[in-house]
Amino acid sequence: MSGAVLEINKKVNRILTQESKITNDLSEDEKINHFLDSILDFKKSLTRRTEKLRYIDELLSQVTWVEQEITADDEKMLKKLFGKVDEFHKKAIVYFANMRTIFWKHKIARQELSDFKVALDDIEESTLEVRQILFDIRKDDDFMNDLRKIA
Amino acid sequence: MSPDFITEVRKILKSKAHADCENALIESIYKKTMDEIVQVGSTKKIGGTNETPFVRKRLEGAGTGKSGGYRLYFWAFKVDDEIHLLFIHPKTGRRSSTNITSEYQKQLAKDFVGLRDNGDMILTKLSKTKTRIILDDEKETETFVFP
Repeated sequence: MSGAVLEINKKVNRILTQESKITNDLSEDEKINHFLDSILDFKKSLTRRTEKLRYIDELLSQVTWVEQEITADDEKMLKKLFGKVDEFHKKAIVYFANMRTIFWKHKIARQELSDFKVALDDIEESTLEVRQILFDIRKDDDFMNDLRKIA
Repeated sequence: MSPDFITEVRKILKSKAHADCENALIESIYKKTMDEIVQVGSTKKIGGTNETPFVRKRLEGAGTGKSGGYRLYFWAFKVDDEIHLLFIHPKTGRRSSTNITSEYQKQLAKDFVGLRDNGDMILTKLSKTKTRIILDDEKETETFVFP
């Protein structure tokens, strides 16, 4: 047996032993505190995810305010981007469903879960809308003529 | 406000769940500056220039916070400091929809051209108490737009 493998073996065993020792050594109070800390961490993580979604939503809205004409290359890039946002949204919905199943009935992080769901709905709404605006409404000659009459 | 906008809000207000609709308009539009209306919150420019944009905006409901609220369509004329309210729908409930169709949004623009040219938009302002929307008809007595 080489020295390196032995060293790894020792390290892994040390970690495993320490892990079990930590768990066994926890008092009831410490266990409860550990549990409460985990809930807080989960809430913080959900809030971070919600903020991330809101930021994406804001960026999507900003696309509609760009004054320069959207080129074919821009359009291609944006369609790819919307595809990525759709994928991200799908995964986040699955995550939400799983978390809701686990925590909602125990009344844990309900506000955070609700906020997360609203942010998810908003993102879905925004991608639909921005696509509609950029790739449908603004490509309509009649609509563009009406805009010229109003400006 | 367009006459259709007034009709729509009156219908929305019939629902108890959306009794805050007028208040949502007051808080998000009538009590705000042009920049706050156009730039703050989730607003998307459907068309027009950044000085005269046709906008879709999310309004938070007074009682429902972010989960409910309304979707408002308006035209802003920054130079004249004018907002022309064209359409609104709640996010949830019987009169709700996730989104209105592209065709309907195009129709709103078309209708607005006609309404503006014919002088058919209805002037409104905030009442003295700042709690109601009234007709801006320079009469002594205040006429509520949404009785």
